[in-house]
Amino acid sequence: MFEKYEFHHIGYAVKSIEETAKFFLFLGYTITKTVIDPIQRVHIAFLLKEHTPCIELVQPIDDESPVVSILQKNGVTPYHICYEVEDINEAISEMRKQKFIPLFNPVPALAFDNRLICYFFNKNVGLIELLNK
Amino acid sequence: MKERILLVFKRTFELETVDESISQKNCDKWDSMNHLNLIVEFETEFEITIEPEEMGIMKDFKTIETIISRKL
Repeated sequence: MFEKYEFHHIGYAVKSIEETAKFFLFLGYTITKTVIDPIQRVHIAFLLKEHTPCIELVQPIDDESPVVSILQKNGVTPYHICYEVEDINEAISEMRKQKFIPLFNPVPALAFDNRLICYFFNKNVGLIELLNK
Repeated sequence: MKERILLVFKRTFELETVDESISQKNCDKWDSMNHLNLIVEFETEFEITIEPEEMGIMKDFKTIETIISRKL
């Protein structure tokens, strides 16, 4: 079943999308328009480059954003990997069996045309995001 | 059960002492990432499943004890 989980992007917690993007633009990435996700309380932009993984830059809107604690603890850092799945509810059951805890019930994400996302945590793996196809 | 809950707190947050007054407000080590570690440890210790709605309110000893006791 897990072979159906397709890699989608690496999530990067940043203090400033503009400041972090400078390096990746130097490397030849292009950047998408920044969108606001009011549920996660973050600004999001994607860095794209052919034959390389997509990078999601995630900047908190305010101190209530869940990304703030990651920045406070680790500074600017990659912090999750996202996989696309066919059926997120079925995937939640599978992830549970793999000892991951869901951080919340699936919610629509503006950055992905309101497709459902869910974050999971496992102490040996860290954060995994699932994105419904 | 109270002792087991307190032991989970001690182990997860690496505390020398802990009592039933512990809450997210009075414990510096209880940040959002350690909260996830705490939930994982409770699930393992008590062989229970904690739902996202419950995770969000498990912010003090009393609430945690109430939620866990409902599942045993």
